[in-house]
Amino acid sequence: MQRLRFGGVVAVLALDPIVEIAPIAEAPADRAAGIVLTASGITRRLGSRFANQAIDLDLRGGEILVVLGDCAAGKSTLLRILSGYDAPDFGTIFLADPKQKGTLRKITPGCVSRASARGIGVVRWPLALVDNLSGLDNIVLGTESYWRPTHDRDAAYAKLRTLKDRFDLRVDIDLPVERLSVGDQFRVALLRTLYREPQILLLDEPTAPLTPQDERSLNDTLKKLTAAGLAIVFATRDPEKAVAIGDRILVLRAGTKVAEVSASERDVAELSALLIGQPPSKPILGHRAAGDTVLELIKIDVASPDQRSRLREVSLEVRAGEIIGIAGTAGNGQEALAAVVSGVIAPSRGKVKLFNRIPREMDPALFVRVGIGRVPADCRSHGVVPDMSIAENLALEDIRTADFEHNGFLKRSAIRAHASRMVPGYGIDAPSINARADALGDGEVQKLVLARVLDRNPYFILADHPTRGLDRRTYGEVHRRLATERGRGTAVLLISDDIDELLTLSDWIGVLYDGRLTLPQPARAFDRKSLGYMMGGHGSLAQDWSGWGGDA
Amino acid sequence: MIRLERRAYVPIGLKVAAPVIAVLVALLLLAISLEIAGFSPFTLCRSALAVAFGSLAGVAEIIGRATPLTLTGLATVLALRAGFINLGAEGQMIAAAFAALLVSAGVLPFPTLAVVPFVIVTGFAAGATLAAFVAALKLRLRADEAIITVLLNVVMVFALQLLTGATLQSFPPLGSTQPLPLASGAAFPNWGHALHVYCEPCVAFVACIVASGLVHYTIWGLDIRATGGNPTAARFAGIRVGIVTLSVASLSGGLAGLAGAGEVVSAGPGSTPALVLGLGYAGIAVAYLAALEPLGVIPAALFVSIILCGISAANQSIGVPLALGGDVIALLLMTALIAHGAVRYRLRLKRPSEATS
Repeated sequence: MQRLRFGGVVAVLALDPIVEIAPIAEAPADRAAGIVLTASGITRRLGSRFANQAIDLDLRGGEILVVLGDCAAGKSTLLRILSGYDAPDFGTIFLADPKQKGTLRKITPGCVSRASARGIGVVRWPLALVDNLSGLDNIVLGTESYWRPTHDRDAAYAKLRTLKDRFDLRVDIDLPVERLSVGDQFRVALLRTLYREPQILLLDEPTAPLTPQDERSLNDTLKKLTAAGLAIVFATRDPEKAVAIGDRILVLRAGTKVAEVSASERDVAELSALLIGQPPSKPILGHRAAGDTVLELIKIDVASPDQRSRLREVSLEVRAGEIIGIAGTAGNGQEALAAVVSGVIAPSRGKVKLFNRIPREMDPALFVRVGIGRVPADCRSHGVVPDMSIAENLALEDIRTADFEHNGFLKRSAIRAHASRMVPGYGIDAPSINARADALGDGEVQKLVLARVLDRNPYFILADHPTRGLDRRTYGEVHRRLATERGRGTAVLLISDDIDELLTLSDWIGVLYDGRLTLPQPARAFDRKSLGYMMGGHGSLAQDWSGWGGDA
Repeated sequence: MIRLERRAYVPIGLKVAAPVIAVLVALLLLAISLEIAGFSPFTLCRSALAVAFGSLAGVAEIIGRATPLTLTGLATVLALRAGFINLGAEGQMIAAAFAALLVSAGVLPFPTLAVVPFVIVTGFAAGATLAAFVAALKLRLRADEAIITVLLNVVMVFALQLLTGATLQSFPPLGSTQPLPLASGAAFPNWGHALHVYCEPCVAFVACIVASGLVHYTIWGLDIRATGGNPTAARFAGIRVGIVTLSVASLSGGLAGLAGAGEVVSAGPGSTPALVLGLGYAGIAVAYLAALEPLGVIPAALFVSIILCGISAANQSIGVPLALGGDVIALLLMTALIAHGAVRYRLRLKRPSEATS
C-alpha cells in the first residue's frame, strides 16, 4: 500500500542492492560531537530527474531538523532513504554507535529492518494501521516473537502508559483504530514508533491532515521528545511551521539543498522565497451577488456500513458565482458528499436538485452532460485510466460529444490536438501526450483532471481537495483559477481540510463532522482557530437554526 | 546498481519483440524437457517444419487448427481489455459444442441447408449466455469472474462426461486429431467440412481485424479500455461500466462459442463436444502471446497451431507423447505472461558518471 500510494513520477522498484558488510568507518572526529546521524551526498534519481541530488545533512541529538520543500522537492524521498525504505543511488549514511560514544557507523542502505534496529523510527501518511485491530495490537504488531505462546500485554501496557504520560499522548489504545479520529490514529502511529525506542524520529508531513488543535498538541509532544534526547527530522512544506518548531531548517528545491539555516535566522517570507523563487499571490475575491441556485441538496441521508462515509440530513444550496467551502477532516462524510454531488451514488433519502430540477437518475454521465465539473479527492484512482494515453484521459469526459466522436468512431486527431493545447495551457509536465497516464506524478495527475474540468467551462465545479499534493506554485494557480471561475458565475463546492484554502476561497463555510453539516456561515465569521475547533467536532454540530426568527 | 523502472510508454518494436523472446525461451525450455524425455528436439522441429512447409494439406491442417485458437484467443483478449478476466473460453466452447450438437442432432426438422448457419448462431448464443451469466454475477454480487469462469470450465467438463458417458482418460489429448465417436444423427451436409476449411478461418481473420479497429478507433473501444484500465475512473467519467462489461463478456463468450460450434460442424456426423477440449485454455496462452492486441492474435494462434501440428506429426513418426501439447501451452503461457509484464519496465544499469552528471 505504501508503495502504491507513493507512486511518484515513476514508481521505482529497487532491486536488492549489493550486500555490503558495514565496516566501521569513522566520520571526521570534529563533526562527530553530539551527532546521531550524518548523511552525505545522498543522490536518488527517479526516471529522468533527480529526486535528491548530493544532499548532505547532520543531525544532533535533541534537535528538530526541519526539511522544508514543496511537493516534489524531494523531502519524502530523503526521508524514505534515511529510513531504509529506499536506497540512494549514491551517498552514505552514518549512524551513531550506541556502544561506543562518539563514533559513527555506516548503515546498509535500503534496509528497513536494519535502520529500525539501529534506532530510526518513521511516521508518515498513510499511517499504515490495521483498521480493525486495537491501538495496542497495532503498536505491538511485529515486536513480539513468533515463538512465544502468549502475549505479554501487561508489560506492553506498562511501557505504553509511561510513554503516554511522559510525552502527553492521550489516546484510547483499546479501541479499534477505525473508530478513532484522525488525530488519535496519528497518536497511535506515533506511539507505535516510540514503542520501538528510536533514537531518531522521522516525520513526513505529519500535520497535513490534522486539525490545528491536534497539531498544537503534537508540537508539545515533539518538544518533550527532544527534551528526552530524541533527534527529529520533520518534513513540511509550510515555512511558518518550519520556523515555529524547527531548530534548524534545511530547504530543498527540486531535489537539491538550497539552504541550511538556523530557525531563528530567517523569517517566513524569506523562506518562502527560497522555496519557490517568488512568494505565491493569493487571489482576491471581489464582491459579487450570488445568482441562481445551481445545486441543491435537501435533507440528504447516505447510509453505509462504514461510519466514515455516512451522511445525515445534509442540506445545502450552491448558487452561481459562489464558492461554498465544506470544512472537515477526512472520514466525516466528505467521501459520501462528493459521491452524491458527482452523481456516483444516490442518496438513500432526500432530494438532489440540479438547476431546480430533480434528475431522473443519479448517473455520472448525466452530471457531466449538464455541465458539472468534478475534481475527485483522489485523482489518480477516480480521475484517470492509467493504461490510456494522456490525450485520451484529457478527452475522457467529453468523448461522446461531436468534438471527439463521429458515428461511433473516435476522432483521434481531434483528441491529440485537444491534448496538445491543454498540456502546455495548464502547465502539465508530461513526457508526451501519447505517454500513459501512469507516467505522471501525483501533482501532474491532479493538474490533468483540473484541466479537464476547467476546460469544459462548467456551470458547477465540485472541487474535492483540489490542491492536495500540489506544489506551492500550482496551489496558488489552482486557487486563482477557481476564483476566476467564481468571477465568471460558476458555482463551486469546495471540500477541503486545508483551513487556509477554505478561508481564502470560500464565500460561505459549512463544517462537516460525523456526517452532519452545519448551516453555512459567511466565511468572514471564521478564523483559523474557530474553524479548526469546529472541524474537530467542537462547537455546534447540528444545523444551527437559532438565527432564524429571532432568539427564542 | 541495477534498477527496474516503469516505462512512460512501450515502444512498438519492444511490444513485438517481447512475445518473440517469450516464444524462444519457451521453445528452449521445451527442447530441454524433450532432451530429458529422450527425444531429439530437432526431430520435432523438423516434423513441425515439414507439416508447415511440406504440403498444402499440412498448411490446411495448421490453419484449421489455428482457427479455433484465434477465436478463443480473441475472446480472451477482448474480455481482458475490458477488465473481465475470462478464463472460461474452454467452458464456453463446450457449452456451444453441446448446443450445436443438440440442434443438429436431427431432433429439429431443419432443411439441411439451414442447419449450418443455425448451428453457428446457436453456438455463439450459448457461449455468450454462459459468459454473460458470469458477468451478471460479477456486476450484481461482485463475484470474482476469474474464479467462476475457471470453475465453470470444470463444471462443463463434468457435464460433458455425464452426457457422453465418457471418462476424462478417454478424451483425446490436445494435439490429436481423432474425435471420440458419439452416437448422434447429426444431419450435416458434406459441405460442412468445406465451410470449416474455407469460411471459418476467414471469419476468424476478419474478426481480429474488426476487433482491433473496435478497440483502438471507436468510442465503444475506448469505453472498453477505460473500463479495463480503471473502472472507478471510467464510471466517474460517465462510462456505463456495467453495460460495457456485460456486452464485452457476451461478445467474448460468443467468440469462444463460435469456435466450439465450428469444430462440431467441421467434424461432421459422429462428432463430440470433447473435440474442443484444451482449445479454450490454449486461447489464454494465445492472448498473452498476442500481448492483448487483437491483431497479434493471428500470428500467435498460427504459431501455437504449428507447434501443435508438429507434435501431432512427431507423435506419428517418433512417438512423442501427445500430452506434450499441454506442456507447450503451459510453457508459452508462463513466458508470455512474464514478457507481458516485463515490457512495462526498463532495466537501468547505472554508472557513477551517469548519475552524478
